[in-house]
Amino acid sequence: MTTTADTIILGDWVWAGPGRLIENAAVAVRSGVVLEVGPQTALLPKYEGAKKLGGDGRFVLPGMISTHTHFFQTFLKGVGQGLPLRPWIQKVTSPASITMNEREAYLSAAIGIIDAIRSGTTAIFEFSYAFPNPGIFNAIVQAYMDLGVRGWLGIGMNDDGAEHGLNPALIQPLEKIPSLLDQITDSVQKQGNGLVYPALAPSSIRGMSKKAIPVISEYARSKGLIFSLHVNEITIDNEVAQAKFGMPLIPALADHGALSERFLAVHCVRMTAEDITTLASYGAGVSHNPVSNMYLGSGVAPITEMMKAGIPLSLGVDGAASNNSQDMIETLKFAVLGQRAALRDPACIQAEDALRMATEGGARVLQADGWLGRLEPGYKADVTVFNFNSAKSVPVFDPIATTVFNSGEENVETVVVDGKVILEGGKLVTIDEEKLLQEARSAAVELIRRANIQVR
Amino acid sequence: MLDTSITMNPDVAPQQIIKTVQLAEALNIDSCYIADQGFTLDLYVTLTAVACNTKRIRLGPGVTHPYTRHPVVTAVSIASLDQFSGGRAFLGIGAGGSRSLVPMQIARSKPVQMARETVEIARLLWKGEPVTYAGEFYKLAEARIGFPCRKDIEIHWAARGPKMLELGGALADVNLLHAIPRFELANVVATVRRGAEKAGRTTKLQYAAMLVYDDASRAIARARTVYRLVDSSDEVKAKLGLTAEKLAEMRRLVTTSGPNSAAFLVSDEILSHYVIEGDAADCAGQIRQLIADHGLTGITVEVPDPANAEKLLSFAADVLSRL
Repeated sequence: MTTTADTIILGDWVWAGPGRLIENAAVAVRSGVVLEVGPQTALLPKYEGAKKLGGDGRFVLPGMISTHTHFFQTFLKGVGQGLPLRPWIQKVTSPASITMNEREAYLSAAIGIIDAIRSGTTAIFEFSYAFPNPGIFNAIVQAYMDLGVRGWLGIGMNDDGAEHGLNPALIQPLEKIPSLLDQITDSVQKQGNGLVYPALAPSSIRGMSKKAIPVISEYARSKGLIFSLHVNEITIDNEVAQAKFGMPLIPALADHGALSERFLAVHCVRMTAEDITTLASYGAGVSHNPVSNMYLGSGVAPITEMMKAGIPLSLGVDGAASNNSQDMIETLKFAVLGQRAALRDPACIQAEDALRMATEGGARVLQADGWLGRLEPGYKADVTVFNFNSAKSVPVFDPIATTVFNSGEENVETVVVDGKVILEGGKLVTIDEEKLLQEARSAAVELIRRANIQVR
Repeated sequence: MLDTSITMNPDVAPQQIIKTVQLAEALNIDSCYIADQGFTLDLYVTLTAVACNTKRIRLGPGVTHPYTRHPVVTAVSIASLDQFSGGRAFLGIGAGGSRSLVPMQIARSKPVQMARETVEIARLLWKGEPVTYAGEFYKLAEARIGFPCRKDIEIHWAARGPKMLELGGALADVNLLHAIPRFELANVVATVRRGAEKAGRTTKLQYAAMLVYDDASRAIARARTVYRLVDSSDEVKAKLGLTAEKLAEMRRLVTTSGPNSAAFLVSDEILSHYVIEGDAADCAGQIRQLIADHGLTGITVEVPDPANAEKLLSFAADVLSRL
């Protein structure tokens, strides 16, 4: 009996996961799942009839997983640049998020997803705002589905925060939240059809009352959902927690039942040694967003310290209003360089650490380890192929270092999600990219006008 | 000859308002209405600035109401605007809307009587004689405007409730049919006409049209429809299938965060009753039909986004030229 594969992806190098770089290797895929990874000499004759992707000079690796973004902000690239956080929220992000309609939500998500795909991303955690219009969530799921990317949709919610400048349209009374969540998680699950999964994303401690934390935590626990929260991006989180709970944020989260392996803390820039120990003891994950942290002047998260403490780490691009792209390759580079610059130590973090955070680490913090984030038999065939045939990349002695330090979206040639090719030869196969970009361009201008946002 | 006009909220930069009215004037639009919303740029400051920067277009509130300005203040303001503009002013008046009255916590009590007294007082004062008046709300003793003014300044009236509509027919020179779903238009016109007949006079009927010609204008129209839904009569709300729950959420969002945040609650089906949609030929056809069906004498083009009015006004000019 001969074994068959749908697709075989060839490379001068296959990085199956941390510590496993194989030269002249191939990945065989069947029914959306990795069948086998090994030397080309063994796999090529075995899977003769399979469609061939990749080839000479190619680097094959698990698709990257971006664990934090806000898609609607792709319409706000460069808008309100340099404003302090509160006026930026009040004058830029809030008016946009409450004004946006379903089509604009779809288009802004789609261009964000395309940017991500082009940088080798195959799964994205979208941290949505508490849009008053529930139709926005469906529009985002549709964008994931149409582009064929795996996604988590973090459903935004707030029951507090007017005194911190949060727009009242984004606030719901706590007693309404569980039924809203039932409704939205259910519709995301159905529409997402195994490719998009619901999660909880209650903005930050500013947007949550003291009572809300245990309610949301219990909801996440009972439904087995990821609970993501902006944590200690700047000092205000600890100040607000101190006022609400009489203690800093991370101890307060621990005390109120929020921390677990399903908890995904975003940013974690201002961390004490106790904070790090606490997160580690609960197995909670972190989404490191180095580009955004630098863009907003938030600081450099103590990633190397967290790594030593054993905290599961992942990478996120953050919203395009504070990045301003959705490019995971840039994020890989910033993750390494930020640590080295802050610690004045080139040995503190290596290229493979960044790649691990962007793949296996992302899967781990999203509780998808074991089936996502590596190229091993039984794992989902979410694969990225780099073609290093560009002046920026040539010559290649260490494909991991090349990926992290001297590659770009132009090197991402093929992207496969769930065994399906979504980018081939640098061209999106799922949609008409040019047409979509054109519509997005004018829709963004119209949204800014309608929401009355000052661009500069 | 059809009367043409534009109507807008003064909620953008002053220069943009002036530019938009100048453009309307250049396109031979007859009149311009500026809304009195309480928290936007002030009505009369705006009208005066516009008057000083235009030559021909007629100007007035679109509309003011009796709750935040004493009738004498309104009459004097309009007469002053008339002086500054070289006889181009009119008084547009109605019952007041939630957008200004809710935040000011002013209850809209007895709007019919309040508006009637305002109009009566204004007309008496404009005659230039001393006025003694004993209304239910307002009393005047030997009140007199101290500068010459035009006696025949037009009254434009905007109403939705049956009593207000009937009174508009009886009192006003022009009845502005604004924010009325099309299925109500025949009723509204009949009520206005009944009022006019009882008073033995005629009145002009100016229909305010929100033109939708692309996705952007549809999105703006959706947000602008929110206030008119919140302020609709219970019968209209019922006919539109608006549930109490949906209305409560609409009211909460619009009062705390503005109409953009509640726009999603306005479905395409609801919107269709409030807009004229299509290319210029389609829109002209629909308006021609309305003119024929209801005996309209004028068309007002709503300018929901005066900061970006060029496209709308050139489209509107195209539509109006086909009528």
